[in-house]
Amino acid sequence: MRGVSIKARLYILILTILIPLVILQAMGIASKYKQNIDLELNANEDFARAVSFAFTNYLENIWDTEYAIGLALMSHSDVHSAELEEYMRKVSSSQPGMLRYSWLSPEGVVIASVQHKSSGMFLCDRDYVRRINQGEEKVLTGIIEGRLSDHIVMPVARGIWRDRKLIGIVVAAVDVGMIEEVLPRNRAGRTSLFGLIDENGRIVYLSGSSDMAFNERMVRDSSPVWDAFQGKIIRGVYTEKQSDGNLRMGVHMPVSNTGWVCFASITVDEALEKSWQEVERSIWFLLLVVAISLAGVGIISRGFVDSITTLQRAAQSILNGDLTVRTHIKGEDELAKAGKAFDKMADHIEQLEENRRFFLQVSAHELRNPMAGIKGITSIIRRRVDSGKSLEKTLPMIETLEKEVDRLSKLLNQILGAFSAQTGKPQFETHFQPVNIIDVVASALKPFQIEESSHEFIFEIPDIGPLWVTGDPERLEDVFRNLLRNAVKYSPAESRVNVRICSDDTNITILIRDEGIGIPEGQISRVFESFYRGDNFNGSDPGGMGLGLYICRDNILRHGGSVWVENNEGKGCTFHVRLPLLKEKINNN
Amino acid sequence: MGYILIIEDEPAIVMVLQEMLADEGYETRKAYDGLTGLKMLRELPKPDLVLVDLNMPGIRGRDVIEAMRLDDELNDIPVIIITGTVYNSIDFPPEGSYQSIFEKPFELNKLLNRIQELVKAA
Repeated sequence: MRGVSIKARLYILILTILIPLVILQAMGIASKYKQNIDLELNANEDFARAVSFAFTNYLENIWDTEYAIGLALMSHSDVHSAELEEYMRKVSSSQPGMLRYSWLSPEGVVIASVQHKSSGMFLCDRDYVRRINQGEEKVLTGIIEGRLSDHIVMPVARGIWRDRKLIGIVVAAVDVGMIEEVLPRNRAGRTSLFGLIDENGRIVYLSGSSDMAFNERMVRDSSPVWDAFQGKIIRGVYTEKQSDGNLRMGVHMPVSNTGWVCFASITVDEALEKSWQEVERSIWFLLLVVAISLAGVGIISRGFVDSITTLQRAAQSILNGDLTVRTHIKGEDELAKAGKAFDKMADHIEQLEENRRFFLQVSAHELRNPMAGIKGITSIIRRRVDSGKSLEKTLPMIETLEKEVDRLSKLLNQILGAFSAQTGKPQFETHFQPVNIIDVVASALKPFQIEESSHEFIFEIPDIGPLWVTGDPERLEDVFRNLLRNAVKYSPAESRVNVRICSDDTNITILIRDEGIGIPEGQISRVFESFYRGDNFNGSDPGGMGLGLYICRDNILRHGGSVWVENNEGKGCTFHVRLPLLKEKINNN
Repeated sequence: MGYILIIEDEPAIVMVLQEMLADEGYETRKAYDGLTGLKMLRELPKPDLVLVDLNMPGIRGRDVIEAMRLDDELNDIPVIIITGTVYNSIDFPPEGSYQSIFEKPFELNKLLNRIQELVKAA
């Protein structure tokens, strides 16, 4: 799946669900289709059976009549008597399609016949004559062209025996054109057909086409009729050229043991019209389901694929140096959260970059002053040496030179310290020991409490003896000196700086309060960040690296304490340093 | 030879400038902030040239120069800026309101040559 987009994966997922569904549905459609074909074939078989039954009945009826005629003929001495002729006429007129009955000698010579004066005709070549002479009693042979009329005739013959001796043959000539009278009618269905085929493969009857010439009646070689002659019931789909060339389905079956075949069929189109409608509906439904699923995938995936693309582009933009880019992904889902986290990260990176640039600027500015001093002093010394002047007066300048070099290295240490604090690695080994915080604060205050000081310092200590903490006294003194320097820097001359120490059971808090400009509300959380610098009391840049408070906080955190600032109600602000009280020391004392 | 006012909050740089100019025979006065500098300009004899830093507490270098240019008596005094500030539109006075600008750390000889030129012209 590597290298495949998420969208494609989703489509694959949906397809793995849809494909079995489609296969199941298709199988359902196919089985329904098969069931419908079976039902239709059953209906055709029923009808074909009805045709067979009606036709067999008709034949049996004729054979019974022939037997009666045969008996009558045998009992009359004069076969040409008017009474007998009348009897035969009567019998034949009551049967549909009956042309005549004839009485033949066993050799096939017509002895008597109704309606036609065909006596004396030789019909020895007829198949039925041969078959009856071979011992068959009831014979139905293929249709023939009539000799006495243009009728197509179906001969139905019966041998008349007495004492195992063939006396004569009664033959009925049935008009094939009238055969439909005896068959079932009105088969339902627009394209339904049924019919009867003789032993030679000639159509005796085909529903809907009564006038067929004799030579047009042969069924074609590929017709299922030929298989039905083998005595089997043939069910299935075939093409019937003789009707309309349409694909048809139906049943061909032998007509009892006559050697004939009957059939019933219908076009596949009509039979499956309803099935097709069902199939079509199922296919549309399936397509709809597939389309809705795929559209769903499209819509759902667009949401998060877009989000991912946005994230990816934003990341690329940041890589390319545009730190202002944000994803602005809305919502509550995982991607939105990722987007928000990304935006926060970008904010952070932008802030870091801004800090870095500011840091460089400030560093450059702050380093230039001592560098200018050093360079200037060395130039003056060189000039004086070059011009042969005395260097006696130069000593104070050399002292300044040393101080400026010290200042430069201090600045560098500050910068390095800020960097190491930022990366969280301790640059110095802290030598923690029990420290009386009152001594530390007093020591930090000392340089400020001189006569020429611009500010008034007030130091309030609770009267409870030493307050012990665990820490590095030098680092802690740095912290307080830094905070005091800030108080002076950000408040007007002659104003008061108040230092107070208080404690409870667990903590010591040192408060340094000034009467200066305070801290703008929006910046109160930022003052401990590296490179933050506020404007001083008269609105100008107070100078410095903006690292003091950052290093203060770092130091206090290393001592397990905390530091924060609050603006006073009137003017100025108060810095709070809280350190954990060292209880063992109290108990020892 | 001439009298030069130095307005600069960095004592080391003030010292360098004073020593250098004294070596060349100039008289100098110093002010460690802008306000004092302006006071001295108005109340003491007018200098032949002013050396001024830009980034100072209180009244900044830019404010000093702008105030001088608005004051008829101080308008003609040439000004050389000595600064460690990277150029930005807030700290820097408009062009034309000063004669030269030297970035810290500056070349002493070049600065001296420029001072001599400007004082001579005045």
